[in-house]
Amino acid sequence: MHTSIDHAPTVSGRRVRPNDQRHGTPRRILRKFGGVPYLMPSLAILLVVVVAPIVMTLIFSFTSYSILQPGEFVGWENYRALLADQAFMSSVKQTFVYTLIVVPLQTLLALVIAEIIAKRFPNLFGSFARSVLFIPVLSSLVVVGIVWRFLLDPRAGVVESLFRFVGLEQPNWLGRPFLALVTVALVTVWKNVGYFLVIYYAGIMGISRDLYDAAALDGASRVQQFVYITIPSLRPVTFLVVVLGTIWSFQVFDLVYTMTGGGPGGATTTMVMSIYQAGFQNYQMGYASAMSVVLLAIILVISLFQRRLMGKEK
Amino acid sequence: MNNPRRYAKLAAVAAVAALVLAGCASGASPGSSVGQDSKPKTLELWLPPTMADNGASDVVVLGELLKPWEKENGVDVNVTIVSWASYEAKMLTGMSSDSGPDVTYMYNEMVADYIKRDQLLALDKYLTEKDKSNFLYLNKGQVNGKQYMMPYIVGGARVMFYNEKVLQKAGVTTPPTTWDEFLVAARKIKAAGDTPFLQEWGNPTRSVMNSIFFPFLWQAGGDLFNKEGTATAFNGEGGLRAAKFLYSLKEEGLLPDTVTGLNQAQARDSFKAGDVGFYADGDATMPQFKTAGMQLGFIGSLTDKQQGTFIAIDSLVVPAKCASPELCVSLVRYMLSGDVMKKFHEYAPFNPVAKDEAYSGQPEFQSLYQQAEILHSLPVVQNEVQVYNILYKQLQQMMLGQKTPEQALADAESEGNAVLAKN
Amino acid sequence: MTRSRLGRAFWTVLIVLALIVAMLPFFFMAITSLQKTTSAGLSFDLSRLDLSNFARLFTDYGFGSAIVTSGIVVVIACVLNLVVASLAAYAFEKKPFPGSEAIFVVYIVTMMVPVQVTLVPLYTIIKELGLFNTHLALALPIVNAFGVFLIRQFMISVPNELIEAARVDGASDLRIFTRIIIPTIRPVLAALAVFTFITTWNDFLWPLVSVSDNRMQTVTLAAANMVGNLAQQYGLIMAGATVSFLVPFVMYLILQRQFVEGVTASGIKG
Repeated sequence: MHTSIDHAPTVSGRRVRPNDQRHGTPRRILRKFGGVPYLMPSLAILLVVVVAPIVMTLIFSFTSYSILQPGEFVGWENYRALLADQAFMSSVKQTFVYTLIVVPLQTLLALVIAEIIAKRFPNLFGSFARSVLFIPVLSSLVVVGIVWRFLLDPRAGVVESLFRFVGLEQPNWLGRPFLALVTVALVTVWKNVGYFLVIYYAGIMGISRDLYDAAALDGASRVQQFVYITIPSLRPVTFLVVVLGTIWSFQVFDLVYTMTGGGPGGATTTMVMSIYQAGFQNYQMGYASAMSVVLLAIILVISLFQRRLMGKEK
Repeated sequence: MNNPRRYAKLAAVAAVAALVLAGCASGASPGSSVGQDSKPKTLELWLPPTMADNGASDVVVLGELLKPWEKENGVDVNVTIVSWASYEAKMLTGMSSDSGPDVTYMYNEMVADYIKRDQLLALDKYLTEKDKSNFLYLNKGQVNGKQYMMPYIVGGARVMFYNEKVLQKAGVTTPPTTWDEFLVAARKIKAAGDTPFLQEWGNPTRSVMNSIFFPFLWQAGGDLFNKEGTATAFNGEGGLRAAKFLYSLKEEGLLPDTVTGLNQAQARDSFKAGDVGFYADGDATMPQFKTAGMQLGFIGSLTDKQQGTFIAIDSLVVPAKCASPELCVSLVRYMLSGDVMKKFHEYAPFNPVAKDEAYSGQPEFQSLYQQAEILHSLPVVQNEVQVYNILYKQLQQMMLGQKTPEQALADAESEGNAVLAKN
Repeated sequence: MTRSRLGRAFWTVLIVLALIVAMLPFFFMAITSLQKTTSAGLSFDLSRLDLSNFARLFTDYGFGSAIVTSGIVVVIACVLNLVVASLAAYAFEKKPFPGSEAIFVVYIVTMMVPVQVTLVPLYTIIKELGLFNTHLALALPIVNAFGVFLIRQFMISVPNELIEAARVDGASDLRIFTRIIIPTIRPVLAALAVFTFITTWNDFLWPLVSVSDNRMQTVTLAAANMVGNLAQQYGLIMAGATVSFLVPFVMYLILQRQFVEGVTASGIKG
């Protein structure tokens, strides 16, 4: 907490700030809120670009807005309909399932690979590996969706030839409902691991070497060191990785849109996909807004919950 | 001291700003910018790609075709090709903004929702007697008794292609004409080791139902909606027959399990690979199958209770936003005129829409297009897109084995009727 | 000795496997884009090597103007974001005021809101402001709380003594900001620039709905729109995807270090 100090006149005499009681109060307030002008541009933009839309979404959710026409006020009707909407409930369930696959998997993979590279490949190869593993993060989800769809093609895809090579029949990746969801989840993990890998790697690098040396002296195996030193030390990092990963998972859209369009049979329709379909395909923006409000509420609750659970002070 | 007040003030300002903006938004209606009836310098024309290379040629060809009209009217036509992938979303946001199209292209499923919200102009008063006698499909472009649509692209009939080599190998000497014969042929092909039939049930969008379901529905005597467009009709005898037929094909393995993961592109590729017997697609795809070296034949329509298949009748429409309706209609009339259409059809082989043009499409399909009674286009019903999305999802679940045909159609019916009830 | 050699080999193979999985799609993309093909496969036929797909992107599909559009939008977004976010972070971290922490909480919350939720109201706002089909409209939503969060994390490590000393010398706040803060946070600024670049470049849904004029479409949109209706020209589609990917990739190669620093800063100092 910074306090403002009125300085005595300096040697150069350039700035004189007399401790003037008569002008004290407004001047002190000016100093106290001196940061406000710096905050203004960012706050102004945020208000226009995020806050106002959220408020508007809230308002729209009580109407029958359809983009083409202003809607009428319908009260709680949209929310009531949501509760009875099987398709929406499915999309909530599917989003949760998707998140429960993606987050643990990407967290674990990132952590394990970071540990392996940090401990066993602290050399050029290791840093090369980290660089390469980061590359999927750079691509857009649209491109990723299109390309992976080709790779998984049942007839001519690369994956298919691999399976054929091994003598197995490849699964119907995008044609079976649960498998399609898993496939989309796996592609997401593929894309995200590199990002969290970098974070974990930096975290591991920050753990004191002495801890490991002492444990080695005590006869602890690499695995034991990993479990009893690395993991606990990285608690705050894991918290971040999990929270960020969860938020991203709940927001998934681009990948589903390009890979499956929400199918087959609605099996990969996530909440944001539902919102898009309701708003842009069914002309029901009011209804879509209600869905958005529900989504936002869920994300907030989960984030709060995670914070409580992992006890991290921000 | 000052903090709570300062904070509250900020919050209040934010809330007021938001409310004001929301108020502005709710109050804005498109087309409220009433144009002075002076001639605009540019007209915006939005079209989907109609030529094989997804839009690149469309811009060039159309640009050329429109030059004479532009010159005569002193107006510049700005052609925007909107990809099919995002057509509906783009149209929605475009139409609701001030920079939407003055003349654009819509297919039947889209139109009702725009008409309901007064987004399209009724063109009756702009049509001359000559127009009315020349155009062949005007009645298909009428909704609620008014001429909202001017049919522009007529074609894309869905036919059942077959690979002659595969059929011969399986001992199928004549192509089937009825469902029963089709079943027999499919079994023979399976016995010979090939894939009898492919359908792209894994396609992200429902438009493939035009090839994979609707023809069967119509052939079985079923229908999509009742005459008034107030309720769904596919959960009737015809619909059930069609659904059960397709379901049985999958159960018997005549449609492989992989179909639930196939999109249209993959299905076409598989067909081109040469070990598939039957595949239904639009007539415009025949050239690419031939280029792939296939020995191809097709059945216009199988016969069950009757014949029936899908035909696209997509139209040019004039949004209400068009500041100068006379001008917009003039552009439409020009685009539909015989000479222009003839040149257009050299690149995009569709059917003539007026008497002043002869059929110049693929000769193989000419006789099919003459059988008007068996060619069905989709009806114009409000919210039908939503109903189709529902139907597609339910049928996908049926093909996945999650529901019986009866269950799938029943669920689609109840959900669909709930949607239509809101009209 | 052999045991550890074997162990090492095992781990090396594992990592190499991971690398292959990571890079496989990009190889596929590149190989397919170099062939004039209408079928998807990894068969690399040298005789079919062909750069015409790339040429066609520019002559027939307006990729040239799409790249320019994306470029302009990215520059605007980067400049705006860097300036605005560093100013705000400065306020939050070095010049907090009563209520500033509460506002920061609001910032954090906004980071959780999925873009699709605010899509339509944002679209309405942009329309009302008359910014439809402009570069500014494409750039503005990128300027959000993430940059402020990132820079603030980094700014924690700017020693207050430095600032106090400058103040003693009579420097104004603004001077402190430009002469001391900015140079010190240069690494995170570079990282944020790269983040902003990539996010803006790859943005799909917002350009999809906020731009109706094809001359204003971004590279990602142009690439996505190539998945066509009639014949799938995979070579062409992959060429579009490759071009769309190449730009962030090159940026990454050049600015790798800053990037990693940025990701790291957002991670462990939390």
